[in-house]
Amino acid sequence: MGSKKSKQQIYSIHDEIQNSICFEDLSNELIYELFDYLSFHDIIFSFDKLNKRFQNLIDNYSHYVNLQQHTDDNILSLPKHIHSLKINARYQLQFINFSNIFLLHYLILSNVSIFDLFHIFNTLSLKNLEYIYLGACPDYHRYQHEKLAEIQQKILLLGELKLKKCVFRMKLFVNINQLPMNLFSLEYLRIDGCENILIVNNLLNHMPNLKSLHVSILQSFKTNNNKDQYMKENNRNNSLINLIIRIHDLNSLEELISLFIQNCSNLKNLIIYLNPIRENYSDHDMYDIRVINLPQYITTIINQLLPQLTNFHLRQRILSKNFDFLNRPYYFSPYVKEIPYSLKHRSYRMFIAQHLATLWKNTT
Amino acid sequence: MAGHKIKLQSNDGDIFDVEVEIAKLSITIKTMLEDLSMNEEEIIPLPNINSAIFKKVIQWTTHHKDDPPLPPEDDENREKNTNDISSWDQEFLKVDQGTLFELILAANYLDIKGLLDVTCTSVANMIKGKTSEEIRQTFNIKNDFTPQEEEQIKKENEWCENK
Repeated sequence: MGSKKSKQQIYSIHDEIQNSICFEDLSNELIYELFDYLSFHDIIFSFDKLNKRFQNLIDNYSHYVNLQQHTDDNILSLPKHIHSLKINARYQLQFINFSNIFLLHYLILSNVSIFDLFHIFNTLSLKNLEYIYLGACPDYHRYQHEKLAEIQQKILLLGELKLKKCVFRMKLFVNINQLPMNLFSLEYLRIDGCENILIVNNLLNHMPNLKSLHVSILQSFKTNNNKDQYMKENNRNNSLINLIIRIHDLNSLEELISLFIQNCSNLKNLIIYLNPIRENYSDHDMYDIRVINLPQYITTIINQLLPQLTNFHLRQRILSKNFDFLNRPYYFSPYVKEIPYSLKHRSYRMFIAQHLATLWKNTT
Repeated sequence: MAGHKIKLQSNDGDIFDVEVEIAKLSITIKTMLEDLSMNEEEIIPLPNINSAIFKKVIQWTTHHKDDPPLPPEDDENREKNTNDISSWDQEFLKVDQGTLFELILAANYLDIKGLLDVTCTSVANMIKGKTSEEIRQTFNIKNDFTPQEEEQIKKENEWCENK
């Protein structure tokens, strides 16, 4: 059977079709499927007061609402049932009364002040929330750690209810020891800043069903004076399948071993990002002994500690000499080179950033 | 490369020989083959699809058999994308409304997510920007509200209109 058909063939098949149905023959389930492709305003604009059936469907449909579509010149009413709510600027908060929302499943918040986050999380009914995305706060200052910690704790506690996916595009401030041990509904977690690997390990102890973790490790725990408080737990988490980890301090590379031993026995996919380097990186960057030893270190840990691993990526972005419109150095990602890797009893695939692949040339 | 074929029967009696790998793009057929242990000699009936629509479905799945799996939904945007329809799909979907709705029904019954996605996107694009009255004309939908009921809805909605 050929994979491509000409326009003529497409029309010849079309000509044979004679029986046809109309829009109203679609089931309510399929009308709702179609509604998922339309914004709340599209739906109201096109279907409001159409007939009894569609009025009833609209009244009972749980809508996706993106408040970005609202402006001061265009303030529109909101639906009774909101399934998904996206807010990405503070001015949008004036359009909504959070105490009237009861069945929210998805919540996306970014560029919202800490004060407003407090208001939202103290007003909104969160018990049905399955997904939350919390972007960076524009008014964040160091002295507001405690406030953010309180908000993060409130969110993570939803892991005892229905929360499956949680994204913090910010540092983790919550005191993990104040979290309950069984945040069983959480399956995906992204945190853009975790102090060290001990905190990650401790966090995983509380999430027995977590399948995917995406986390940035800010520093080595050798520099942490309170490491003992995080080392007391020794539970194991066997549910983790996907791990994306960003290393900001090369010293924390070897500390990953504690994470692998404790929580990664079923890990299938591992991506490690090293800190970005300058475009004209020097020998000093590339010939740091910890970088030179990477191939040996990685193949050893995969061989000994990650028996289920099938894909490993090592990535490092490169800082260009160019600057973006905010005068920040521009990043680019080099090509990734695949290096098939076989051990005595198993094989897996490695994908290495091109400029790092030279480190592997003597090991393949 | 020609693979193994299975026989699938439309509701008007036509039998189609379809490569297993192509047929398995339908989760419904894949489940029949794998979970219900139907063997490849058996004729699998598809009671909800006529032969003309099934030909279109085979045409679509054959063209898309090597497509990568659909990406997971974007974390930051749960709304479905209604912009991207490939030029081949646009050509494929140049059909009358009845055929388009039959394709939606077939994609839903056969559980072919890619085909459901592209057909729904196509209908959504037909809907966008049209007033209720234009939708009524486009899809031939009758208004069954009495004038009194219309007035009542208007009153009920007043509270939430432009504040």
